[in-house]
Amino acid sequence: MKLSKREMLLGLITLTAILLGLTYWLAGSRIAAQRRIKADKIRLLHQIELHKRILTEKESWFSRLEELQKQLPVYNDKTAITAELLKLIKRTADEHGLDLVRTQPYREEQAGALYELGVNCNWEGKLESLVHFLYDLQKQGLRFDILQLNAQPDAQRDRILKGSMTIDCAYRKGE
Amino acid sequence: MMLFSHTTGIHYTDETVEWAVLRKSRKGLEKLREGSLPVPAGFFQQENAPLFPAGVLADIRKNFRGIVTVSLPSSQLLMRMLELPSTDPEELKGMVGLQMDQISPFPVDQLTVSYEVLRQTENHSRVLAVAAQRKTVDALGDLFKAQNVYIRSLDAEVLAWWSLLIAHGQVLCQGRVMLILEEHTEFSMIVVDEGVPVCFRSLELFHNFTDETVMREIVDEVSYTLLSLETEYGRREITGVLFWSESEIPPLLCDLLREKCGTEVVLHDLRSIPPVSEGLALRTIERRLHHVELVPREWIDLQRRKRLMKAATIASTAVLSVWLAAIAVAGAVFSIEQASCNRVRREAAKYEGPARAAQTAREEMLALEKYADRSHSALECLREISAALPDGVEINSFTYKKGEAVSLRGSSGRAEAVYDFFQKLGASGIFEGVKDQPVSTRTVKDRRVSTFSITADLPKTKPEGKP
Repeated sequence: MKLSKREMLLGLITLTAILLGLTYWLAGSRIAAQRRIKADKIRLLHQIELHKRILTEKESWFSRLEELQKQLPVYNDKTAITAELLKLIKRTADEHGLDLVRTQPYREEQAGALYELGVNCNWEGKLESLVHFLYDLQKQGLRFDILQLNAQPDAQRDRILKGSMTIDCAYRKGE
Repeated sequence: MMLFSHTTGIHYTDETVEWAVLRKSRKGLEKLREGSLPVPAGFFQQENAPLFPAGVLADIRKNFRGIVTVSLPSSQLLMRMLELPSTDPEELKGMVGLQMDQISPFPVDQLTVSYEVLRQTENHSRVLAVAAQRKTVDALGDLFKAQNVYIRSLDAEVLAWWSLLIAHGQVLCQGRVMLILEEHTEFSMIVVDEGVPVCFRSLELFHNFTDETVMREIVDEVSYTLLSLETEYGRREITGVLFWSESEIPPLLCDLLREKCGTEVVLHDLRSIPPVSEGLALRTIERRLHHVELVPREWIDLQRRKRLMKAATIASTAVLSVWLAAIAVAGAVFSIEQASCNRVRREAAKYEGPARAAQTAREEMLALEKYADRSHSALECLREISAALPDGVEINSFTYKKGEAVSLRGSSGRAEAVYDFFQKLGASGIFEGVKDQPVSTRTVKDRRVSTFSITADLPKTKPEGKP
């Protein structure tokens, strides 16, 4: 086969061009994938770092959570929780001379392992009774929380207040 | 620009094959290596003996570098000195071709013809025309080719000798000088006028030149040559006869030559100058424009094409190899990176579950802590408001909404007391601020009464404040 220098050079250039094209065709998508892999790897490494830091704190969080959860009462499934709670609120109010003229429980709600029950109460009584009642509830920690409280003087009776309140009762369920 | 150029000269007689490799660089010429091997015994005596004992090449070809130049013995050449009225290379070539066609017993298409300019004036050239039979040249080329040695240049042996004699200053430059060369019983003669050759002639083989009959035969050949020279260049006295020989020259031969030429015969040892293989390499490396070259053009083209094909193959292979290597390396890098990422992914998966559980626990814990926070409870707000309440100010309505605000309505006989109350509430640590503070004053039963309402904002808690 006769081949001149010029033809050889052209052949080499063509071969190089074909190889470059082939390289682009073969590697083009791989390069993009490679970039994604690299970015993914960096993200995962950061995530691992973060997770390792989280895990070093894990014990303290769990123990604190356990401590907090211990403050919540645990009811089993057989207990009539609403009635139990209403009875408890009524008893506390009675202890402090606060008259609950009407109580209305709401639907039980679940948030994780925690259950909540809202109870709306219309009440009447002296300021001292109200304060003592509120203090007693607050003393019980996480168990009760006052979400809303209305109070105004009773126009008919001197030194008597009346109003409404929403008590949020928190508890857990267990065996 | 090439840093080096190599040439290899190969010279053979009926007894030895000798070779030399020269290198030309900026520093000058240097002989890299040389050697010789004897021709296998009886090689040339066999019937239809090849032109060259190619078998010896197998052992020595690894030493060859660059252009390979082989000598053709004078016995294989038709040589004729020509005086031509031109200096133009193309014209000279044409003239030489025509002359050789006339002189040669073979048609010119069966010859390979070349020439060497020995002397040139403004419009005149003395050239040595050289021709070899094409079939001889082809046979020699095939013998070398069979051993993977490609002849790039074919030169006349006698010209190589001539170059060596010049290079070593062994030529008298005054008058007509006759040089006789004897190498392995092969005789050649060169006649030089004022340092420029006027005749190159092969005197054939005279194996037993100690025999008086053979000696007289040699002298007759010399005599015949001188005679024919006189017809062409005129009669001149021989001023010197230089006899270069490898063997010992019988005194009788010297006497006969002295008698014929009318001058003393000066004997020289041919081995005192470098071998002819070196002369061949030297001539190729310092090639001039008008240089004998008996290699057919198509050999050179063929070799050039082969070299080009070889270069193309090497270049293509190199490009492909580099490409394949690059692809392989890139592939390996990709795979390593992929494997590394997979490893990291597995490690991340190992931590993810426990970390997520811990995070959930943390969120639950934070939510419960917030839930347990009673610093802004209804009781605390009542306490704060009672503490801030000045004398003479009555609260008529109290509304508390956890995480939002405390709204109050009330009245007082003194507007200043109301504003004091507002100020105290605004400065309280429990509330974030106070807003909606309308105060209206009216007279009821001859008594001034200021009524007001105020909203004290509580720090916001998230909607999912409760766990």
